[in-house]
Amino acid sequence: MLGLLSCDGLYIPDPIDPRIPKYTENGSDVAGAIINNICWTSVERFGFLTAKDKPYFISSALTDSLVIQFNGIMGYENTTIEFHLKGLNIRKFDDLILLKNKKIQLDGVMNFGVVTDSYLGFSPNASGMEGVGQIYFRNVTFDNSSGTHILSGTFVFTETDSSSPITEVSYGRFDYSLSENSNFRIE
Amino acid sequence: MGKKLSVFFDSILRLNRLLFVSVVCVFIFTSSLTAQVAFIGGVNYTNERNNNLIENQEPRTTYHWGASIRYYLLKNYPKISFQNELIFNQKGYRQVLDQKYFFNFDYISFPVLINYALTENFSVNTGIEFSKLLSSNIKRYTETYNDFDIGLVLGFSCFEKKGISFYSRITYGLLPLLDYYAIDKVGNFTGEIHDLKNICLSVGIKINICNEKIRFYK
Repeated sequence: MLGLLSCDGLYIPDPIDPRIPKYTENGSDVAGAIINNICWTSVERFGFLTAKDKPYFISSALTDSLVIQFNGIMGYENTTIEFHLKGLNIRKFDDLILLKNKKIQLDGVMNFGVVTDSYLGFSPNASGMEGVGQIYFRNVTFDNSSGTHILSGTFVFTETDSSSPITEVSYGRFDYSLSENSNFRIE
Repeated sequence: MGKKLSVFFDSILRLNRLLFVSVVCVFIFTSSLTAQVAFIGGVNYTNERNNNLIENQEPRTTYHWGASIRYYLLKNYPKISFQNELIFNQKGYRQVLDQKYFFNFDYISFPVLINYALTENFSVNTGIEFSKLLSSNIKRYTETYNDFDIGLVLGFSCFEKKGISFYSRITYGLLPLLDYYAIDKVGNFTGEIHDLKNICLSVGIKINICNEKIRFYK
């Protein structure tokens, strides 16, 4: 039902680098980044009972961890940018407001970012060191009428696993409108 | 039958071409008075000046068209005239990254110019151009770009007393087009960007449609 009522993401090209979306804080349902000089974009699209490139926030109360999945496309391949964050105390959907104006340093161990194939998912690399950088939740607002959170921010990280080439994620930005039933899960 | 029709159409086309060339010749060689109201049109070689903001930026060739009116306000200075125009003016640039990205900014421009006739067939002009952004190929462009610009104009025109004359001018935009966030490499917000200023070299022809001098003095 939500799929029928929702609008597709609004992709407005960035005025400086049109390969990625412009930074907005409107809940445009888009994200973008440059991964090793190739653009990765996520534009949420809704079909009949289906949704494409939907972001997910998965919280675990037991381990106090939050996994954020931004699903998108790089070239012609489905690619997910994932963040594994700890100690944020996000236990329910309403707690997402706690992320407002939070800059989280990705140390590669406790907090990290990874680029994964959308189908295979995340598998830890041998060194135990994942993407190092930053994710910044610049603005988080809650819309009472629709019951949605709008999360907007930026991210940058670098994966330097010795067994594979360096993955550099730069100019990352996201602007998603999240609803409890559609985008948020508690494990 | 088909061949006859083809010959017939060819002869009509030739006639039309001849008519067009004749009209142009009449305009160029018989108009002796200064034309004051004219249609103008031509090409723009346009770009956006900026502080190393746009990577792999290239200028574009676009177009402009409109109308102009010239009038004489100063009795003692017949070589000085004033000129107003209303022009549909496309500006912009392109950016070459993984593909070519085109940025079109369609303005309605209102230049206010002062002309000085150096010789009978050559005059220089300068003035200010006020421009209002009407449309763009960028989605929701009004949320990213300023819709008003003021530019300094410097140019010249040749053979203005003929039916068809030529002009060229450079317009140097003064107001920043872009208002945006400044985001550093780590993703921090370091302020605001107010950048991208129009620069446009225009070359065109002016087709005079009214040959009366407009004077505001007796």
